Amino acid sequence: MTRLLLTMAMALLWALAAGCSGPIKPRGQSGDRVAAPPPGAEGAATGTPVSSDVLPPYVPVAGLTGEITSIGASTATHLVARFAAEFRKIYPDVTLQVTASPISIGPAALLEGRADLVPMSRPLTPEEVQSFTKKYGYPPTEIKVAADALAIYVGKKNPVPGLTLGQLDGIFSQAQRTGTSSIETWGQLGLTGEWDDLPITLYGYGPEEGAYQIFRQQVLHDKPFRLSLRVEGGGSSIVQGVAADPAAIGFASVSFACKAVRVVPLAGADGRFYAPTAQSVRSHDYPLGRFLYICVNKPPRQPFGGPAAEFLRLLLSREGQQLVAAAGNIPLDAATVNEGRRSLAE
Amino acid sequence: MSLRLFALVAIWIATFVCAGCAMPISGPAKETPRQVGPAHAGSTKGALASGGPTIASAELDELTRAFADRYVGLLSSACDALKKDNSDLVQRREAQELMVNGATNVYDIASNADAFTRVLDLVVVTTLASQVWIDDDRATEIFGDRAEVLVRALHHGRVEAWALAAQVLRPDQIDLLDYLLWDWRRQNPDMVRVYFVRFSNFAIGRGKSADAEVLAAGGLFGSVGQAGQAIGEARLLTERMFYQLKREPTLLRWQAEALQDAALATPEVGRALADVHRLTDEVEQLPKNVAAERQALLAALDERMNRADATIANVRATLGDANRLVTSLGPVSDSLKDTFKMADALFARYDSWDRWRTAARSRPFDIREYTTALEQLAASAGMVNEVLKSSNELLASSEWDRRVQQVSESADERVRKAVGESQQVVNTFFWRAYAALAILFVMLIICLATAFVLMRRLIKRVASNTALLRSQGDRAVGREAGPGAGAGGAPREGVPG
Repeated sequence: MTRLLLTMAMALLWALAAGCSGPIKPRGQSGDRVAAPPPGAEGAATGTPVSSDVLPPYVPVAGLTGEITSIGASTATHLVARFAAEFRKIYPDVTLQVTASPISIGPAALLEGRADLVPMSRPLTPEEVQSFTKKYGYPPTEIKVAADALAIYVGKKNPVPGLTLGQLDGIFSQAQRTGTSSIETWGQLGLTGEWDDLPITLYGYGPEEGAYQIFRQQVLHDKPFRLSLRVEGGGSSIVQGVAADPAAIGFASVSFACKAVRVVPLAGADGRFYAPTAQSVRSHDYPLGRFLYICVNKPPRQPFGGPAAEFLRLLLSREGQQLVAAAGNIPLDAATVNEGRRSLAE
Repeated sequence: MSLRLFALVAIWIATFVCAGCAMPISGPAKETPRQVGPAHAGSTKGALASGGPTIASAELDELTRAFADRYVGLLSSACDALKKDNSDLVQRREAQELMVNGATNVYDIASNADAFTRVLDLVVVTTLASQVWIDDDRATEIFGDRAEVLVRALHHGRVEAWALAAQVLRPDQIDLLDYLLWDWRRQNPDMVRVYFVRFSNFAIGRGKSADAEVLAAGGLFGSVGQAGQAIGEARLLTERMFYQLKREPTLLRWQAEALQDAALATPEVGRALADVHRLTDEVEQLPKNVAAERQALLAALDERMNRADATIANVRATLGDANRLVTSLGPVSDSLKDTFKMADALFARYDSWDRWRTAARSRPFDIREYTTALEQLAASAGMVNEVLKSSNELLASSEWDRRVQQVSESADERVRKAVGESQQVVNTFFWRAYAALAILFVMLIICLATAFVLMRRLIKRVASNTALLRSQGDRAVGREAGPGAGAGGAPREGVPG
């Protein structure tokens, strides 16, 4: 009996070792999982840029079946759709239903139990959290799955060196906050010559987009946009609108950058100008960084299980963050990944 | 009685069945307005909020066709502007290709049966074209400063296409479609001829995008293709055929121009043309060059003659100098004689002095030796004097001048003869060159005439083939339109029969 137990223990250890270094494939029928590394074991504090190689690899479980329904904002849904394709390769027996919707639909779907995953391009509002808490007695769990930055685009020949958030407020806001003035021409931003009297053309998202709401909140301090804002259907359209109009300025995800436009550095809290790089976004130096979230209904002190949990674990793994980078977003640092993994485990 | 009743019923049933066979398979003759609008997530756990715009398919038909015409107009105007006064063959070819590919494909899409698919395809081609030419900066790379007009046109077309899409898609679907196209472009960065891409290329089948599945989950594809089944009437088919056929001549003309531009911009043809241009230039320059070379040759001869004249002059001058030299030798001989005389006196004094000094050792003075020596010296001087005198006489004689004159004249004659012969050779050569040029021009004219005749025959043949194809197309249209027209009524107003 003792020999049998010893043999089983050795087999278990061997299986664990193989699982840590091997490729992604089901580990047989045991259904065991490799425990996540202890918090803080990878990377340093939040904000330290780390490569996705230091993250733990994803270890699939065997025999996973079921259904996942994702309803959420289109920007974050792009990412979920990409993951869905990879997820199906690993778990062909899991049915995934991914649907894009206006950003306000996702929290409602989570509240009504119609969605397992709710991708969001902004954090939940206090009202949305309050409604959920009122119904379930605990708040929804928001898990950061990728980082992103709202970039400010101008035409490639536009010489503006950098902008402050106050200047952006003056450019985009219909009613500027105290201390900022209305900016309507490029000459007011210090450009001379042919730019001096050139009126600024504005491009941006529509009100249903998370980027619109974040920009309005962080830059305009919840004041309305100018009526002259040209609303485009998506980030690619915004960037192209800027590319085709020499007098234009627009905001969209940094992933849409192309040859015909220039990304303008923004002044951080320390007064220095920062381009929206992975490092400046993770370190919060770049003022318009943001996270993409997936919200789930997870009761506290109960482990989150099932296909939806596996989907999130794949996202918060080495392979998952590599896919984030491949999709054009900014991968998370190790601390943020671990924070998300803890949220799922606790 | 019952048999008659049975027969009547049977005949009535047979008539009904036969009439049914003759009716269009696709449904009622009169189209019921179909609403095309944002799809709903019917298969998800719950329905998404609706509230997007809806539009009748007939209206969408009109909108898409009008858009296609506007887009082609924009594109052709921009490409014409790019080609105007543009001698760059590559730029002309690119502009023509862009116009032809854009127009052909947009008209092809606009004549599609399904209005919903038509909208998506129009969005796809206009967006991808904009991404290639604007976002990837290809317009500036190819056309430089001229690119602005193309950028404006493509952007304008793209904005209009998306406005059209907003008639049938929800904002989130539009955002997803926008991302889908951007992502597709990211995956296919080297594809430039994007007017051939259709929505189905990356949304359906192998290699489909993950976002396409999301669109499918949202029910977007539920509308794709269904409209085509619903709108299968012959009248609409005829409309589409006429829509395409009416634009076919323009497209054919543009295709021919594109072929011409492409041929001209081909490096081999460019080299051949450059060779021809060089040859013609040289032919044009040849008479000028020949004249110049002739001038240069004559100038060289003149120069050579001048040099010969100068030589002769030098010879004459030298002879004159020699004459003067010989003449001056006369006084020299006289002075030599005086010198000898003086020397004689000097020797006499010396002799007396030297004799006093060396008396002890020398032999005794013999006057005969001294006298003999003086006589010999005097004879020699006399001979020199004689020679000089005869030379002087010779140079001073008219015979010497005559001989020099003869030499000079002989040289002049030879130089003149050489010049004459050279001119004759040059003139003969150039006459032959002129004759060869004339023959070459005649041959060139014959070649051009032959090419012109052949081109006319080729055009006639192409025209006859096109007419044949059109007639075949018309017959095909007639065949397809026949049953519908019979049961569905007259063609629409404004459509030629």
